[in-house]
This record gives sequence, C-alpha cells and structure tokens, in this order.
Amino acid sequence: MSPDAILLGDLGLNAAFLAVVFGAAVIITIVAAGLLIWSTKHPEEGDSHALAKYEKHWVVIILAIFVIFALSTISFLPYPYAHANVHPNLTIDVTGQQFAWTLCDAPYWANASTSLTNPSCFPNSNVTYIPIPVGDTVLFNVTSHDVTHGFGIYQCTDVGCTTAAILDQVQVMPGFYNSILVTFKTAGTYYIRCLEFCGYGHYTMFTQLNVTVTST
Amino acid sequence: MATVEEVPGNVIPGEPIQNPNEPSGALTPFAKKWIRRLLYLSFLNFIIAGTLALFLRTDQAGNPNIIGPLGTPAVFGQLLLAHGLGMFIGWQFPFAYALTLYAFPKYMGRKIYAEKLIPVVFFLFAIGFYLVWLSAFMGFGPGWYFLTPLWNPAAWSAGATWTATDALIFFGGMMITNASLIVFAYVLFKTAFSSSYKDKYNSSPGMLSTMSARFAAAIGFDAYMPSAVRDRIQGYPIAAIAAVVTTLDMVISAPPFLVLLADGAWVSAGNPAFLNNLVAKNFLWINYHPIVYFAFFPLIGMYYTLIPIFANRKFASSRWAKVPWPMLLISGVGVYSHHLFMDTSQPFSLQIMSESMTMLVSFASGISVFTLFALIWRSHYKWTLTAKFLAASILGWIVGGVIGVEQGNIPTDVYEHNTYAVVSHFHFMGLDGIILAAFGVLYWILPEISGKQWYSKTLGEIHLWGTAIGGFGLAGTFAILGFMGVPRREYAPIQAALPFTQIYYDPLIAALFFALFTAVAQLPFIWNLLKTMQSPTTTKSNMLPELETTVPTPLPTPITRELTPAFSHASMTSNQAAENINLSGTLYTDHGDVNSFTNQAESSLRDSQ
Repeated sequence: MSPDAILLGDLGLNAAFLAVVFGAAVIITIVAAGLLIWSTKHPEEGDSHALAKYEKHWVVIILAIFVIFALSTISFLPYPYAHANVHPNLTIDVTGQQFAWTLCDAPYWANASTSLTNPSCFPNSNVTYIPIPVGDTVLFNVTSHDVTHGFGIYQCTDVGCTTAAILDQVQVMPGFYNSILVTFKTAGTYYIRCLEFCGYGHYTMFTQLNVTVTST
Repeated sequence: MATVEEVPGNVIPGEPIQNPNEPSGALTPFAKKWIRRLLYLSFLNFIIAGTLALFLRTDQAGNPNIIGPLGTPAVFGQLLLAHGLGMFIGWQFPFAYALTLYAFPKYMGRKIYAEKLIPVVFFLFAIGFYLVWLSAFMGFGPGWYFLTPLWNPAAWSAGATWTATDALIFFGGMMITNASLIVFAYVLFKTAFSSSYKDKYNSSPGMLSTMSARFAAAIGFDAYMPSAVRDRIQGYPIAAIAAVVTTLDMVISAPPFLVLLADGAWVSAGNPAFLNNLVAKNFLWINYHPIVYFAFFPLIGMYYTLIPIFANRKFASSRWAKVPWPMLLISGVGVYSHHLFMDTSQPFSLQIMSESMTMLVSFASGISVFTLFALIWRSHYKWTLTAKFLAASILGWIVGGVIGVEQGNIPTDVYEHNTYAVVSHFHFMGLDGIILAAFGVLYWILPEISGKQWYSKTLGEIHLWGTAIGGFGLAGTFAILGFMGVPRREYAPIQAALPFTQIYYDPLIAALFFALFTAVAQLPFIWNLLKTMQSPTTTKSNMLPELETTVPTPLPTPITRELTPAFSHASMTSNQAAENINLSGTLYTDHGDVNSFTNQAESSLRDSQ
C-alpha cells in the first residue's frame, strides 16, 4: 500500500512553496527596516523606549512559530524508518562511482560488486530502464564505490522538461547504506543528479530514469 | 568619577558595558600593534579569497556560445577550497582574534594576559593558513569542507588530480592553524578568568568572586538566575561575553576536529584510516559549524556595544541582552548535525538534537534582533557609516536566518540541501551579515588602534553601498538558483543533456554581475585603507587612555575621525577635551560626555562634506 504523503512535496509544499515563504519573509523584513529608518527620523520626545515592553510578547510569538513549524513537519521526515507502515512496491539499489550511477533491481543490491555485472543493473549509463509503474513507492538504497556523493531525484515539471524540481535526495557514503522512500505519482522522465561534490567530474554525474504507466 | 550605576547613559543598568573604570593603558600599544596586524592580514586574505570567487563565478556563468568556462574542472575544485577556507579561516580567524583581543581591554578594562603570545598566535596562524592555500595551489581541491574520503587520492576510482603530499601539506597547515587557535584561547580565557587581575570582576565588596560566578557572568548565564543571586554577580560586558562564548565553542569542538586532521595526515602518510567515513563527517561538521560563528558572535557583541551609542539610549533590561548567549553557546556546537540531515545512517537522536538546536539558535537570534530593533525604534539614532554597516548587516542576518530556518528543518531541507539555497544562506549570513558588520567595526576601531584618521568618508560610503548592493544581489540570486534546485559546487551547471538546466543561464550571469559589482566596490576600500596606512599619525594611540582618565569611558571611536584640530587627541589636553565636549551640549553626564564627543565629531564630519 502506498501512502498518500511521505514527503512535504507530496502535499505540494516543495521548493516553490519554500520560495514563496522566503519571499514573504524578505518583504516583511524590508518593510520593517523601512519603518525602523522612518522611526529614527521621528524620534519620540520622552525617550520612553516604548517597543521594549513588548519583548516578552515577541519571545512568545517566535517561540510559538518555531515550535509549530517543527511539530507540523515532523510527520514528513525523509527517513524510511520514520514510515514503518509504508511498504515499498519496489526496491532499487544504487551505487555511486566517479562519475556515474548504477541502478539495479533488488535483490542484487546486497552485493555491489555483483550488481555491476548483473543484467538487472544499468551500470554507468545515462539512461536507466527499470520500469516503475505510476503510483508505486520505491525504496532506494544507496552506497558508493569510492568517495562521497549525493543522490538527488529531479522531477520534470513540464512536457519538454524545461523545468524540474527536486523530488527527494539522500547522501551517498562508501561503507554505509542510506535509504529514501519515493512515491512516483506521475509518469514521465526523472533525472538523478549528484548533489555532493565528488571530484572534477561531479557536474557530469547524472542519469535518466523513466517512470511508465503500467499495470501493477 | 561617577560609578556605573549613576550613569544614565548608554549602559545596561548595573553593567559595565562602556567600562568607565578602564585602567589607563589596558589596551597597550603592543596589543594595538598586533591587533592592527591581525586586521590587515584578515582583510588581505578577504581580498584574495574574494578575487578567487570571481573565477568560480566565471566558470559557472561561462556559456560555450560566448566565452566558455575560463578554468578547468580540477581547478574549480581547488578554487572551492581556496575561496571557502580563505573566507572562513583566512579572513575570519585573524579578524575574530583581533576583535576579541580589542574587546577585553576596551570594554572590560583588562590588559591582555600574556600579550607577548599575540605574535605567536599571528605567526602560527599565518604559517598554517598559507600552507593550506599552498596545498590548494599545488592541486588539492576537495572543496572547503573536505569530506572523507574524497580528500584521499587512494580512494578515487577516477584518478585523483592531487597527490598524498598535497593532502599532507593541507592537513599539516590546518593543524598549525588550529594550534594558533589553542594559544589564542589560552590568552583569552586567562584574560577572562584569571584571578591575578585586581579589579571589580574579581573583588567587589559583597559580590561573589568564585570561579563559577565569574564563569556564569562570562557566558551571560547570570541572566537566568534569581535576582538574589544575580545581584551578587558582577556582570561581564556583552562584548566580553561574546568573545568567551565563541572561543568556548571553538575549543569544545576542536578535539574531534584535530583527530580528523590527524587521521588525514596519518592516511596521507600511507597508513590506514582510523576513522570511518560517518564518524569523520561528524568530526568535520562539529567544528566547521562553530567556525561560522567565530567572528559573528563577537560582532553581535559589538552590536550590543555600539548600537546603544548610536541610539543614545540604554537597553531596557540587561537580562534581555544576556539571555541569548547561553543558548548560543549550547546551540553553536549542537546544531552541527543539520549538515548531515540527508545522511539516513546518522543516528536519529543526533538529527533531532540538531534540528532543535537550529530552532534554538534561530530563537536566540530572534531575541537579539528584537532587542536591538527596540533600542533603535524612535531613538535619536545617528546614522554614521558604522551604524549603516551594522544596520545592513542585521538585515543580512535576518534574511539569511529565514532561509537558514528552512534548511534547519529536516523535512524542508530535502528541497534545499546541497543546492544554491545553502550557498545563499551563508552568503546572506557571511557576506551580508558578518562581513558588513566587520567592515563597520573596522571603520570604527582602526583610527583608535592605528592613530590614523581614515583618508575619506566618501570612499567609505561608496564601499558600503557597493558592497551592500552587490552582496545582497549575489545572495539573492543564489536563493533564486537554490529554489530552482541548482546543485552547489558544479563546474558547469548547464548541461546539454539536461534540458531543464538551460534556464539556469540568466541567474548565473546575474550572479557573476553581482560578484563583479561587489568586487569593484572593494576598490575604494583598498584605496582608502592604503592611503590611511600611509598617512601620518594624527592621533597618538597611547593618548587615548590618558584622555579616558578624564572622560571616564572608553571612547567609541567615531567613523573616519575627521576631527578638527581642536579634537585631535594628540593636541588636546584633558581640560581642553572636556571644554570642547561641553561646547556641543552635554546629553548625559559622564557617558554623555562621550556621546557629545562622538556626536560633535560626527557633526564636524558632516560639516566637512
């Protein structure tokens, strides 16, 4: 069973939403700065330091903002162990290596050296042909053969893929397996890019992942 | 001489922020000389590191159809290291050293303990840091945060572009740099806590003088104590509290980082590693996050010191000025795991701890900003050059803090981690927050510690507006790139095989433009500084303490110090000084003298333009 929402992005609260929040905060800050400058042009006569008496109110307000922010997002931790009730439809193992990705169907992922030669794997390829039915939740287990990498999944947001947004990401570290759960809600092209500097070829480290409309 | 409590001026009631009891000569000519050298070294490194950043921008903005990238992918990695560490260590360490070594004698009235060690700090730092830059020049390029095992050529499957020797030089340099930090911390803590000082912090009738009381005062923890206890603790100036807090964070986080450096050197010498990759990553960030605060905390201390002077107002409550500091002490280190939010193998307890700590540091920042905001609100605020720099830097602090909060929350960090949103965060904080504040403080204190007037205030204004426009434009453009999902640290973000990367072009060009704008804005600063250094000494630096015995506060040095001859410290007797001060109309007694002195100087400055 696939859950409705694992990540905030499943609710539409992705980078675009965060950009709006940030933009609003910037506008409020600029307005507040303008008011502050204006206030110094109109100093109070008695120097009563009027605003200071609201310090306690302000403390309560910002404390409430941070607590509410943290608590309201806690259900969307991007860690598979935080979603024990979610059972992935598919498991894909991923190995990063300078400067390419290898994706394999499970259960071959347990032996990374085997996976590179396994027919279910797509080593160092620019396109990965693992069929992922729309709506499936996939568990990605990632590791590295050499240095640290970052595994970032980008989702095209239009037909020609002239824009794309981060769907999910996880760090890739040799000697460790990191995991993420991703639900692919729409068919189309996805891209996997390296999100951690891994050497001179870092910027060339990507592959394409196609999600298809198939019956499960 | 009035006591602190009797002074209605710019002090927290009962707090010696302006230190009317500074003993003559606490800020010695020897200390001033080395503080000056540390400042010159820091801003030299700033200019070099900033220039290197221009090549990062040209690489990324290079379009194959126009000019093409100017560098190579391997050099790009070297630039990442040289620019990043050039700013975080090359600029920041000597600046933080200088500012904290200035703050103690200035605002606490204590001569620096074992000040003969300051040159040791200087040379250890210079040798260590330039070895780091040398390693980058030789080819070492894993970026300023050198993740294990990327720095190790033996770990590469693609063939590394540097050698183990380069890595060894790097780790050696970093260890020597940290040795300078340890010597500095010894000097600073002895100055803050030594019982050898016979002053009110160690022996005031009826006051607690135990080490625990002094430590509580030195981190601002007395603000949390009941009044019966708090009233018996001699409060430390905020500038001193800031210095102690930031140095404590650096020292607490140093041991694991030194183990990491030792591991790096050990492996580079051909031995097996003794840290696994995850522990190594923890040991890196547990130190690398407090590094970010090393200069920032003392600069916040300067906000609390200088803004009351500009506002001609005291804080409504000394407690609110101190409340943030214990929080900042704890969270300064405790936030570190937010750099590992995307490592699912990191223990969950550490992740939650760091998310909470990130909220705590934001909360503490929010309190500070409001306290300062309330102080300025409807005050007779003097918009001096330094005041403008500080105001702009607080804007950078707020805006950078907001985007930082998004990255400090695990579920929202998914969409910003390792993208340009992170670069935006630390450029808002670093360039628009810390650097702008540092420039403001430099304009303020250099005349005092050099005995030279700034060559031109106009050049200072050009520097301010150019840096602010360029800096905010640059960080703002990075934010746009971040929300577009552009990964950080890519040599060529635009790839023909990735159709969605084509729209990166315009913001990358905009980033290059703002970077160049910022760079050009440093030219008037460089010229102004060079001309100032070449100018004759117009203010005998060692005359200040003498003057302060009559005007019993450390003089807040007015920007550019374009004093009329009557205000020249060297040519003015104490009585003349007092007479001239009175001519301007005394705003307050005692502290008012200083303010009127400052204000008269500012008026003189304005009249001259």
